[in-house]
This record gives sequence, C-alpha cells and structure tokens, in this order.
Amino acid sequence: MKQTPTLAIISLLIIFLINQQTHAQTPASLAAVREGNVSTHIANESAPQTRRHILPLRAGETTAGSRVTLAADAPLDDYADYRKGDQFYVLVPRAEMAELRGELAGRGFTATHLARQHGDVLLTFQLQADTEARVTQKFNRLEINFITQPANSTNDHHDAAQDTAPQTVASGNDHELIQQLLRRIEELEGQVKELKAGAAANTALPMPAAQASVPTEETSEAEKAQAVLDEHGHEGGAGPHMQIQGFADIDFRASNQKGTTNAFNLGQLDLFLTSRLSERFSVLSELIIEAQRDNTFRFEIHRLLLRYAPNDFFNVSVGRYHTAIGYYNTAYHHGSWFATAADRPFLFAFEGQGGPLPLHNTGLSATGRIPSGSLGLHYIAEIGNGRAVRSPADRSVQSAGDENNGKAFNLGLFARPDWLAGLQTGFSFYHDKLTPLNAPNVSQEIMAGHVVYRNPRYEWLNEAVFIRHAPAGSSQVFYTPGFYTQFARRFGKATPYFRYQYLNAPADDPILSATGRRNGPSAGLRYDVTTYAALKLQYNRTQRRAQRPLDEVIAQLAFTF
Amino acid sequence: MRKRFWLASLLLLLVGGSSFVSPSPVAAVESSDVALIVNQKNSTQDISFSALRKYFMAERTQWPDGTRVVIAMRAPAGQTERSVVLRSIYNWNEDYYRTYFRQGQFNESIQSVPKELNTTYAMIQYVHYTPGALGYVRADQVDYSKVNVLSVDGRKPGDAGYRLK
Repeated sequence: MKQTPTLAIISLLIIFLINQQTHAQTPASLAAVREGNVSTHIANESAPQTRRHILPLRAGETTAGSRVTLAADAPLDDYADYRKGDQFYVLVPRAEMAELRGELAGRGFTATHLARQHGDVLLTFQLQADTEARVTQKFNRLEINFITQPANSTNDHHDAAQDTAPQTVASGNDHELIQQLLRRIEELEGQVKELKAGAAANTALPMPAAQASVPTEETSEAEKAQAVLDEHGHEGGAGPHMQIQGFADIDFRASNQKGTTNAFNLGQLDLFLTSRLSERFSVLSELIIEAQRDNTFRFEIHRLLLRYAPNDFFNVSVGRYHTAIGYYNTAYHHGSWFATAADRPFLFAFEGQGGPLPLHNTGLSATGRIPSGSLGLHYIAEIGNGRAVRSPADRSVQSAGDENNGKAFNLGLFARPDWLAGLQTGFSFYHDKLTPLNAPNVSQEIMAGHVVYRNPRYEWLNEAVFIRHAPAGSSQVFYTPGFYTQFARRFGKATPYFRYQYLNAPADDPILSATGRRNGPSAGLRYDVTTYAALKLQYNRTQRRAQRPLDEVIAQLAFTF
Repeated sequence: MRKRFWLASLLLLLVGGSSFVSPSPVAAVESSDVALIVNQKNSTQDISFSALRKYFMAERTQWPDGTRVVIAMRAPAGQTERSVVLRSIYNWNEDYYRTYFRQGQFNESIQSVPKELNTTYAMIQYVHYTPGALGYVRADQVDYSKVNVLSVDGRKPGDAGYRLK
C-alpha cells in the first residue's frame, strides 16, 4: 500500500472535523500515526465524557479466521480503526485498559500491542498475509474479525463480513481514496447534524447508535412506561387490574366401598383472583365450583382477603382464609395441580368431606418475618369464628355468623433456615370453644407440627397433629392423634411417591365420633405431561375401625391455566 | 516519513487532549460472570448470598431503606444469564422456578412475581428507572452510567469465588 502525506493529512482532518463537531467525542491524540484507511464512528451526543474501562480482551476462532472481542463499561460508538500495511489499529478515545495478559494472537494476526497515550487506548494487531480485518460495534463491545482470505471468496467469509460495518476503504490510487474520504466527511457531517437535532428530544432514553441487540425506541419507551407503573403501583385512572389463575382436575375413582360406583368426576374448578390496589394493599380470592354427588354444582368462596402488607415483618389480612394449622392446608389450598399426590391426607380433608380440622376460618390473619438471622423464623397469628358444630351433619365454615361469642385463634411459628434450602419446620397451636346442641360446650385445642423438605428433585412431607377435646363439666378428655409422611422423588417428568397416614379419633369423641380410625399406605405416580398439566395415578389401601379395608384407585388429570 | 510524522504530531497537539495515562483500575472480569445491578439511588453496595437468595425468592421484599424490591429476570427461559441465576442463586430448574412463584402467589407467601425483560438493554433501562429493582446482566455489558453493580459477600464479577458464573 502506497500512501502520500496528503492522505495522512486528509485522514487527520477527518478526525479533527469530527472532534470539533462532536465536542471532543474523538480526541485525536493517537492520530499522529495515522496513515492509510481510516474509519471513524460518531458517538451519540449523550455518551459519557468520563474515561471508559476496557476489559481484558478475549480471542476466539471463527470459520473464516479469528475474532478478538473488546468490551468496555460504556458504549464505544466513537472508536476508530485503520490499517497501515500489515498492521491494523483500533483506537478507543477516552479509555483506559490494563496491560495485555501475555501474547495475544490468533488466525490472521500474529501479535497484539497496547499503547496508552493522552487518555486514549490504541491496539495494534500484526496481520498475517492475505488477512483482512474488520470491526463490528455492538453497544459497548467491539468485535474485531480477522478474515484470512478475501472477504467475498466464500460463503463463510460473506457471513463473517455480513455483520461488519463497511469501515475500511479498499486500496487504490490516492485520488479515488481522497474522493472516498471526502464523501465520508460529508456523511459524518450529516450524522453530526442529525445527532445535534435529535439530542434534545432524545435525552430521556438515549439509544445507542449501533446496537444490534437492543429493542426499538418504541419498545424502550414501553419499558420506561412499565417502570413508571411499577414505581407507582397501579395504572392511573384505570383502577385496579384483576388477574385470574385457574386450577382444575378431572378424576376417575374406583373402590371396593359399598354403595359407591366407579365414575369419572369433575374435581374442583378453582378460580384464583388477585388484584393490587396499591403498593401495600391487595385483594385475593379463591372461588370454587364443585360438582356434587347429585350432579349439581356448588359455588363457594373459599378465600376472600383484603391484605395490608406494609413490610416483611407485619402483613395482616381480613376475610375468609385457610387456617395455618400445619403445612399442607396453606401450601396447596384447593390447587390439586400443586400437590404431588392425587388426594389430600385424611388429616387435611376438607370439612365437607369429613375432615377433622377447621381448615377455613373467617376473621383476621397476620404473618411476618421475625428477625432471627439464619434461622429464618416467621410467625402466624389468626383469629376468627371457628367451625360450626351445632349439628353433627353441619361442619360448615362460619362465614356469616358464629355459634358463640368466643373466637377461635391460632398461633404458629415456622422456620426456613438458611443452612438447608428447602427445609421448613414449624409448630402451631389452635384453640376454640365449641358449642354443640344438647351437649356440654367443648374446649378444642389443636397442636400441629411439621418438618418439610422440598427441592426440584425431592419432596418429603411430615406432619403430626394432636386434637384435644375437653367437654365442660367433665374430667374426661378426648385425644385424636394423626400424622402422615409422604416421600416423592422426581425423575424427569415422572414423580413416584409414597405416603403413609394415620388418624385415630375416639369413638366417643363429642365432635369427631364419625371420623373413627383410618390408617394405611398410598403409592402413586405423577407424570407432568406439560409444565402446567399433570397426570396422577394412585392406589390407596386404608384400614378402618370395625370395617373391611378400603382399596381405591384414583386417576387424576390436574392442570392450571 | 519523519516530516509527515511531525506534521501529524503538530495537528495532534491542536486537537487532542493532554491527559496522561493512569493505571487501569479495571478488574479482570470474566465475560461469563453475571453482574447484579441495582438502581443508582440504591445505597446498597454489598449483599450476602443468603440475603440475595431471599430477595430472589421474594421471601424478603424490602431494601434496608424500606424501598420495595422488584426482581427483574431475563427472558426467555434458557437465556444464558437467566440460566446462571437459576443455577447459582435458586439452584432450581425452570419448571420449579415457575411453580414456586405460581404457588407462592397462591399461598399468599409472595406478593409479586419477578418482572421479565427480553433484552440486556431493556434490563438496564428497567433497573435504571425502577428504584427498588434488582436485576442482572453479563458483567461485560454493564452500563455504569445507568446502574450500580452489587458485590456478593464482598466479591464483584471477576473476583475469585464470585458465585454468579
């Protein structure tokens, strides 16, 4: 390549002109050595004026040669590159860089040299014969591609060059080169004018000039708007926005229980609604539509809560809630898709299905974190109407009234220690005064403890409950113990599981006489057919007091939508 | 040649600055490291790994100054930095992550789920405009003019023992 002083001066004038018009976007401190093909890039007006930090270079092979990646902590719109003979230069103004670590070379270049001068960084690459070098800028990265054969000789080279800006100018006679450089000057002047004109209107969200991977201006404005919405908590003027999630299951059950037939049945259609009213107030509701044995449908509000959550230490809700007795009830609620097994343990069967525990309540519930370091302690405090007991056939949740003036309360603690992610252990104490018809009042206490370990592969649930009933005016006290343990191991989409459960209510218990004793194993397989749908097959064998063992098979398709 | 050099040098003096080279403070950042980024108004500079995990799991929802934490995740599933975060912070797979937040909302233990951003640029912009945001980008793509980088247990991207890689 043969160059003249004229060419060098023209090159420097380019740098000078750009520098003047962009207000020192490109200091030309290293331009003194410039001769040959020059390519300069205009920085956005909003580019930072502070010195950029260039990270250590990375080199790798490409199909056409090799690539060196230069990254900095700010956009590199104003870099410049040029070639002189077998040396290729990349200039980054207002930058600093640590010394190169050892010899940096690759296919197409044999050595790399770093020079720092007047606050600029100049990288020099020693090119091999028949090697072309091109630079692609992506936001705060420069990809310096070394192509070891002519760029248009193969498809590979075409690919490599495709994302490379046309920065170098083909060698030729000086006149042609000067003409090209003059055209380049005009082009750059135009860009500078555009930048100046657009700078004022574009100060809120400056968009890097050449950023292949960034969204459009329209998208970034949308992101900004979203950020503003998030900051203020709701969409102004439009009111709260309700979100709905659905859960449902379709079952097939077969058993040897007399009086029942094998049947398909719709499980519960669970509509879970949430809405954020402000940063601290929110509403949630769980509405259940359930098919009954007489083929009618029943609609019930199982949860409806207005929640005030000022901080991590105190969150209070008012309305109808799931009682935090044990773990299972508040972990799975009515969402069978969340649960590994096809049915709930006896202990946590719902009130309408003969369950022994008051799983729903209407009143106030508070929870929060207790400062406890790595122990991860949380508290729970609930107060509500408790469960109806007037009629043995009616164990409904007291959503609209209370049989007595006494209120049920539940206090609990649970820990999620840092030292074993996935472990939760807790204890709760529940008290209520029950007032059955034509019978003495009963003091009810329920103590529950749990140790649960869950991670993407394993699930091990262990819970024990002790129910104490003490009729007034009597020294007799009735105890109902119950527990279950359930272990599951996930293998890809399949999760085999095993559960053993036990519940033993005294036959003469004033509240739970119909519950009796039940115990036995369950084994099953859950298969996640998609991320949000699971097929479960389960076999239960249940021993019962004074009855023949119950064998039952359940097939369930549970899903969320 | 010498004449040309001096001519160019003269022009250089007219144009260029006179700053001196200073030693580089740049740490040896590995490009595979993922940098945690926060809003520039956030005074937190360092965070313990256990606290970080609690923030990402939405078990802890406030910064020390009371600002609500907003977790920003890269999308879609399988995206490189997202995979690093799922592996190194959550120690979960994608399915478990989705189930966790769906269930957390369902059982009232989680008030808000992470925001999802499709590009590095959008992530940086989102964190830049959201005071409580906690996001992440590849360490060599941080825009220091818009966001701050958190260290974890005193280690920044590129440091030995840095966990997000």
